[in-house]
Amino acid sequence: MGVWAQVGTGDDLLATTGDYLRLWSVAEDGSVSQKCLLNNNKNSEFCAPLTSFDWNETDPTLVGTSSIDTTCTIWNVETQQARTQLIAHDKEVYDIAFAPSQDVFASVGADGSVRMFDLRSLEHSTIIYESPDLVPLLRLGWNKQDHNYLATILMDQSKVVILDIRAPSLPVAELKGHSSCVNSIAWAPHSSCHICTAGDDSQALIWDLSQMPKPIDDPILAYTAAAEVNTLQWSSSQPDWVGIAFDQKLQILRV
Amino acid sequence: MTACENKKKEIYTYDAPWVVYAMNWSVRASQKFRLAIGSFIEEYTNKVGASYVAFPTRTNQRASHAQIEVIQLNEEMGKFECTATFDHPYPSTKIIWAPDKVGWRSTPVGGAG
Repeated sequence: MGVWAQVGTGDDLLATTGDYLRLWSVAEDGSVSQKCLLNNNKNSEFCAPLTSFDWNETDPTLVGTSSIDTTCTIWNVETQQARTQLIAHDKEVYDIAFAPSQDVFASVGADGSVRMFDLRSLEHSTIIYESPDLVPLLRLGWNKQDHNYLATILMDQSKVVILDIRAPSLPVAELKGHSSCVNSIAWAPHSSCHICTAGDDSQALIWDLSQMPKPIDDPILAYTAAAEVNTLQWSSSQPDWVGIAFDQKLQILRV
Repeated sequence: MTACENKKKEIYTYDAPWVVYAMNWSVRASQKFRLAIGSFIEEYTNKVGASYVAFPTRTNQRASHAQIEVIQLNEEMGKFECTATFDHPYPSTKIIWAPDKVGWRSTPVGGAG
């Protein structure tokens, strides 16, 4: 429990992925210290970079990481032990997302598939979607307000694919508002039918999906940044603010 | 600037010392407008070469030097301020702040949720 000795103080915790999953403590005075490094790699000569991770909001002791070595690992960050490591895809895994529940997660990767797993029965997975020509899938977002919906993006493509786990295989909607490749997606934290998308066309677009399965033709809001938008995050504690990163700038926008 | 004028402001911009890649919001209600941002540097340059000593290359791998900044909006000044900078031994692919769930860190293992 040494890592968790800060309970009751004002310290905040931050997790990052890169070579490994690391937890950092951010003290009230602003100082930052590494609390732990989680490594499940038996081979000490190499490390397989982690492409992404997700923190389970229902059970915050659980963090899931995705790796270029085709695996996903579910960590208990309280005990700092890997709860399970599984070969999730045939190729590199690029992203992982927990459902708004304790046990279910999904991943995407270079094999072009979205696969869904249940921690209570890991013997099999469910393929939710396979992209045309198995184009790699780069990002995955799980709607936290309505667990039926996932969003993913295809490598070098300008559309965003919305999936309904009740009707696998075919997208329930395709959002075609970007004129260049999409880099980032974020479901609204407070609404089940809004999603923000951003990409190389410097645009951040907000879509209203309440009319699905009718086609969604246009976004309801658009913002043009000064350069290609690399990353986008919607604030869960202040849902009227969205953050975008482009070039050397971080910008927050009131929605 | 008054709080009332601030309320109308729609955009705040922070100029980072490097290209920003990973980024995320603190979810704590008490830490409004606090974010962490990560640099995207593919390999060493001369400028950061000194850090090479601190982060020796792993066998058969080219190590990369990267940084993370914690920034917070000073609402009175209407400006972002950097409150912490730390080195990250490889560019961060993602950053997430701990979920703000009361008491989870003191919950017995496996007993949460």
